[in-house]
Formats: sequence, structure tokens, C-alpha cells
Amino acid sequence: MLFNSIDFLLIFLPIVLLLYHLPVPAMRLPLIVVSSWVFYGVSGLVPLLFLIISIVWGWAMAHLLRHKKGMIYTSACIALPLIILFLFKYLDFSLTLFGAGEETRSALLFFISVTLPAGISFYTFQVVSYSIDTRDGIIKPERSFLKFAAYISFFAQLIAGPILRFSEISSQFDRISSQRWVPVDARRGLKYLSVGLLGKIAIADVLGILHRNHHHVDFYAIGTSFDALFVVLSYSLQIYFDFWSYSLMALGLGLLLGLTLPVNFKEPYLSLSPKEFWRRWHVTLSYWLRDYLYLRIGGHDAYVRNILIVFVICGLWHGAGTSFVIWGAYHAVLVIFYHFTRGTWDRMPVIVQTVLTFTLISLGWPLFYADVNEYLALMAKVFSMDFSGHGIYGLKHWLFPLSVSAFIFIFREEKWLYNATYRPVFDHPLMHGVFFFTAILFTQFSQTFMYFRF
Amino acid sequence: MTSRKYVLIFLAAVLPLCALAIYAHLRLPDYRAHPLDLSALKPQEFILMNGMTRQQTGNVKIGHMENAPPPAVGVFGNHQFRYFAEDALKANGINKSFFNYWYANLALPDILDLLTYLEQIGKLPSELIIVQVTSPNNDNGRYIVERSQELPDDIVFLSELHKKETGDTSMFAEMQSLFQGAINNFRTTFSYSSFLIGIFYDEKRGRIISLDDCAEKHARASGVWSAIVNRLPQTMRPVLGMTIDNSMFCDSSYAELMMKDGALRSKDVRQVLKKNVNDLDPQKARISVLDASRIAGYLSNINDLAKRNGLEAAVVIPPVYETARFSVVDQVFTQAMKQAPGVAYIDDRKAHDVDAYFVNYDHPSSAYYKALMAELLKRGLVASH
Repeated sequence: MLFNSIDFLLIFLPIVLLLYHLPVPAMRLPLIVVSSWVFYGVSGLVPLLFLIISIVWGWAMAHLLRHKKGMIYTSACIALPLIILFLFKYLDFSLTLFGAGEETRSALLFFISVTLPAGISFYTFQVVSYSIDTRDGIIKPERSFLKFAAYISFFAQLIAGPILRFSEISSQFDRISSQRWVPVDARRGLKYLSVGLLGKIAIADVLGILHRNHHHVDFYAIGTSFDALFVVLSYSLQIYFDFWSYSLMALGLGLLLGLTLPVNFKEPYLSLSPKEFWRRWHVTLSYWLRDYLYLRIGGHDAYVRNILIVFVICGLWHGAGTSFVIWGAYHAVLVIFYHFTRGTWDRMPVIVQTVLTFTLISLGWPLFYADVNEYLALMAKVFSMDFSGHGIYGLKHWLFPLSVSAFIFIFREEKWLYNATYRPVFDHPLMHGVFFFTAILFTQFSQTFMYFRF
Repeated sequence: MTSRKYVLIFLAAVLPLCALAIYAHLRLPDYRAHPLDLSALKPQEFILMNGMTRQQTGNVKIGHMENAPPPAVGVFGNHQFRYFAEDALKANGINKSFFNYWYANLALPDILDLLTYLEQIGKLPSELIIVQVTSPNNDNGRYIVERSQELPDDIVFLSELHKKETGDTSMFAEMQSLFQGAINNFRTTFSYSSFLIGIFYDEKRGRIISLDDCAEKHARASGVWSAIVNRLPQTMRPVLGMTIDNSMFCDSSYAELMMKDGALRSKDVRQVLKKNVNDLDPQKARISVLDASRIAGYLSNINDLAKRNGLEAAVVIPPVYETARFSVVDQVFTQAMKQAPGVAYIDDRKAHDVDAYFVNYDHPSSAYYKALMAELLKRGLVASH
């Protein structure tokens, strides 16, 4: 089920909210689990089956880790979820990489052909972090299966994060399971939900339409460098708003259930360097990679090697394909370059640092949808400095992404989105109601969230 | 502002707007209850589809099939076959009545539901049923096995197939039907097209457009209002354009015109032909190897339905414009065909790079349909007279 669907907004969510806020605390965790499994299961029972297998395995094996802390046991604990992830997400890519023929593919057709379970990368990382935290004694193995199942499968963040740590949510689950009435911050909850919906439908999806226009023409024959820049810019804004909107809606849904989820985006396009970008973009993934990978392979001791490893894995986490590996390596190079030129870089004017970072990051995004050859052709177009001819995109096309960019760079989220006090211009419920209704009307035209496939 | 007050004002905005959406939806003419008479169309007259919701477009077809006498040859498929017109038969010397029942995004289970319904009301074509399968490499398999949810609820829930799938008599099946029906109604009511068209459209303008009258009307279509309307987003354009006059649809490169045989009139402007528009990402495939037997079941059931009614049936897998590519969905569909060997297949997937066969990536041209009818004639599935 999608957040931006009629089924979710007009049927699933109202029913869950009504039941959840009945004064029956003992019902809330079971409700979270059941509703989350319904939410996930309507898209297919096979993905649900593998989600449940991962939950049962993660919960049971954590109890083993309490007593057996050796590397073998830890590896065994995290092996099954990772194998499932590999079979569904990386098998096809591996077969391509090793030049497997059609016979091999046919033999493995089941795994290749089953649609990648949505959110599998997200919940697998949660199971792995839980197992490692248990091994390290940071948390105790959870006795309640229900609570653990709610942690892994909570519908507000199951499909595309934020990636939760058990310690972040455990006490909140205890609280909602004991309070007769759960206090709800409806103002922020509904604001985040409606603004997130509108961000997805009115910005991300519209940018997607503009960006996809070039599929209908012979782009490389008639496009100019302006057109190539348009594609790069609109895709960069699209992927940001798509994921930002989802994360904001997740935050809002959490608040409507009395739960606080971590903020996943902190105005990443205002970053002054590639390194800072990763502290602001998909924050929970960055910290996960830092804590469970980077620091464990030596951290700063072998900086260049470890950064390369982390970012290549980060690329692979996003997708199984050569272009994702290159995207990861590209970011590693950016971060390493910044590391060694930090003195000079930091002395540049702030506006130059911001624009440079935004440009470098944006030039990498097309690897998310283009294969390597298409990407190279696009970059060749960008840097060919061919500004002659009419091109494909005119002023009326540019107006939208330029306005969106201006909005990002001018308006601070702490003033209009995460403001602590009530400001009628940004917080009026009538306005949010209209946003919500408008978004509902356009749900059928809306596209699936881009991060669902990761 | 307290949470309670915030929620109340929020709902005070949302609920009246929802009521307005329901009102707009109820204003839309129901072309099933009040069918348009396609057979009465004169030469150069067409049904104007612009400014119709998807549900209305579907109801034009349902209304016709429930009321008009059935043709000898009927095509059942989705938008991929929307340009399949009677001229394909005439070009092969086939002198039979023909109707193209293409409808929205129908998948195989939808088509089986529809055929079952037509069997129940005695409106099946009298000689040949041509069933179009969505090309496997067109949309990652979604519209091969997943119901499109676009057929009217009563047709879906009354079908034998649906009863079989849901367990027939149980209360659970009834509840599931009701729930699915409610969701479908929500989807059609709360849609921007239904909302805008319901509010703005003036049905007095009529749905029939005559291109013979267009020369005169075209002068008016080129006025200031027309220029403004033509700059609006595509959704608004037909709606607001029709509040003034139908004449803006005289521009046949823009108008969506249905002919008396149910096909759409091919647009004059040839679109850019581009290969491999669908990226065939296995991660986006909507069918798996587990679905092969399900697909085979649908194919066999369609074939059985035709046989028990003394009809011929042909299942056509049209090409899409692409290079020769391996795809999971393609492979799964081939497996399904092997599991349903008694069916007459016209498998044209290999014609994927014949330029003349395409209007665009996934819509075959009249040249393709002529070749298809020639093949059906050759295989004895249809006779000339």
C-alpha cells in the first residue's frame, strides 16, 4: 500500500487511527503489528512471508547472542536476513556480472522473477542493527515478540525509513502500551502529512513528468547543454522532494500515533561540502553506515579505503547495478577530495561552497535511472557547451524547477516547517485541509515513491 | 491552537470538499444507463472522448455491448489495441460486422470477467473472439495478471471466475466484494478528472462531433479563448474548451475520437518512435514464475468459454517497439503459453522492430492490424464471408 493512495488515506489510515485511539492500551501494539502486516501484505503475500521470517529470525537469534557473543554467532544471526536480501535484490545483478547464461537464469527464475519486496533494504538494516546492538550489550534482547515485530514492521517507516534503532522506539512503545489516552500532536502530525503529500504530488511528481519528457524525443540528437542541465536539475529536485515528502509523511503519521520518528532530511542541498551532505541526506542511513560499517572496519585509521568501501556499499544498498556502484564510488571520491582539500574548500565563500556541493551532488543523481552509457552521453551533453538551437525545454519548463530551487535555498525549514510556535501562514489547518484534499484528488496520477525500490 | 481545535478546522476544510467531489461525481452522465448509439453515427461523425473520465469512457463500451446487437468479430483488450479498426478486415476482403471492445487497462482476468458477463447476457460475438494480451515487455506484466479495477463492480463480482477465486458462497467473499467495490468507488469519485469534469462540463454540448462541420467551426476554434484554453494543462483543456464549444476538437491531432466500430481514430500527427521505452527492470516486474499457471488458467478458460459457445478464439500477443531483449515477464508468459497448449496464439512479439507496425512504442498501427487479420484468415480462424 502506498501513502499516496486512496486506499491508505481514506480507508486504512482513518480505521487505524480510530482503533488506535480507543482507550485500550493493550490493543495498540497488536494493532500496529496487524495493521502493518495488512499494509505490507496487500502488495503480495510472498514479501510479507519474508518480512515475517526476518522478524522471527531476528527476534529469536538475539536471545542466542546474549550468551554467545562470538563472531560466528553474530554472523549467523545476520546471515539469513542478508541472504534473503541478496537473493531478491542482488542475484540478478550477480548473474549479469558473472555472465550467467539463460539456463542458469531459468533455474533461478523464482528469485529473479519475484518482485523485490518493498523496503527490504530498510528492514534488513533494522534487523542487523538490532542483532549487533544486542551482541554489544547496548540493548537487551526483547522478550516481547510483539514489540520487536512492531519495531521492524511499523507501517509509517517500513517501506522507506527512517531506519530506526530499537533503542529509539522501545520506550515509546512501552509508553503507548500503558497510557489510556495517547497524547497526539495533531497540528504537526497533520501538517507533516498534508505538506508531505502535496510535496510528493505537486512537486516531485510534476518534476518527474518534466524530466521524463525527454524519453519521448530523440534527446541526444536535438537536445542542447541547457536541456541536459534541465534534466540533471529536475531529477535532482525530484529525487529530493520524493524522499523528503515520504520521510515527512512518516514523521507525521508517527506523531498521529503519538510516536516520534527521527528526522531523515536536514536541508541537504544547503550543505557546504559533500561530507556535510551525508550528515543531512537520509541521515538515518548515514549514521547506520557509520556505526555498523565504517567504525567497525577501522574508521579513520584507513580513511581512503574505508570511505571507498562504505560508499560503494551505500551505492549497492540503493540498487543492484553497475551504475549504483559508480554512484557510490563517485560520492566516495567527492568526500575524499573534500577531506584532502578541506583547508582551501572551507575558505571559499559560503555561496560558492553551497553551489559547488549542490552541483556535484546533482551531477551524480542521473546514475540512479540511467545506465552507464546513457549517463556518459548525458554528461557529454552537459559539458559540450552546446547552447545553440531551440532545444527541448523552454522558459515555461525551466520556471518550475527554478522556483522549486529558489524555495529550497531561500526558505529555512525551521521557520516554516519545524517551527516550534504556531504561525498562521504556515500552520493553518484550513490550508492543510485543502492541501490534503488536493493531494487526494491527484493520487491516481501520482507515481510510486522512488525509494520504494531500494 | 489546541490539537482538538486544529483537527476540527482541518476536517471542516476536508469534509465539504469531499462532499463537493461526491456531488461532481454524481453530475457525470452515465453512458451505461443512457448509452450512446454508436451504430447511428454517420460517416465523419465520431464520439468525442476528450473530457470524459476513464469510468465514462468504459461505460460507453459497456453501454454499447449491453444494448447493441453483437458483432461477428469482437476484439477484447485494452488501450494497446485502441486503433484496431474495421478497415483491417476490409483490407483482407473480410466482410463481417466488427466491434473493438478495447477498454482502459484490462488484463486477462478482466477480459475473462467481461466475456463471462457477455455470455450470461447473450451478447458474445457470433464468430470470433480476438483477445489481446498486454505485451509482456510493455508494462512489466502488471496488466497481464492484475485486475485493472476498471470494470464495473457488478460485472467483476458476478463473474464465475471471481466466485472461483474468492471461494464463492462464503460471507468472506461477499465482504471482500463489498470492500473492493467501496475502494473502486472511492477511487473514481476522488479523482481530479471526475472532480473537474463533474463541476465544469456542460453535457448539453453533446458528445458527437462531425468533422464535416469542422471547416466552418474551425474559424471560431482559432479565437482568443481557444488560444488560452490550448495553453492550459491537458486535464483542464478539454473541460474548459467544451464549456464554450466542441470546435476546438476539430483539430484532429488533439481530439480523441471514437469511431462507430469502437476503435479510436488514429491521430494525424505521427509520434516519435523510440525503442525500449520500458526499462524491463526485473525489480519492477509485476509477475513472477508463480503466476505462469494462473495465466495459463485464464487463457484456457477464455478458450473454453469460446468453445462452449461454438466460437473461435485467438489470443494475440502484440509486439512493442524494442530491440530483442530478455525479460523475466516475457519468459514467464512463454511458460504460461506452454501450460495452455490448446489455445490459438498469434504471438507477434518477434515483430518488435518493424517500424510500420507502430504508431508509437506500444500502440500498433493499422498496418499491423491488417497483417494480423491476414494471419487469422490464413489460419482459418475467420472466413471472408
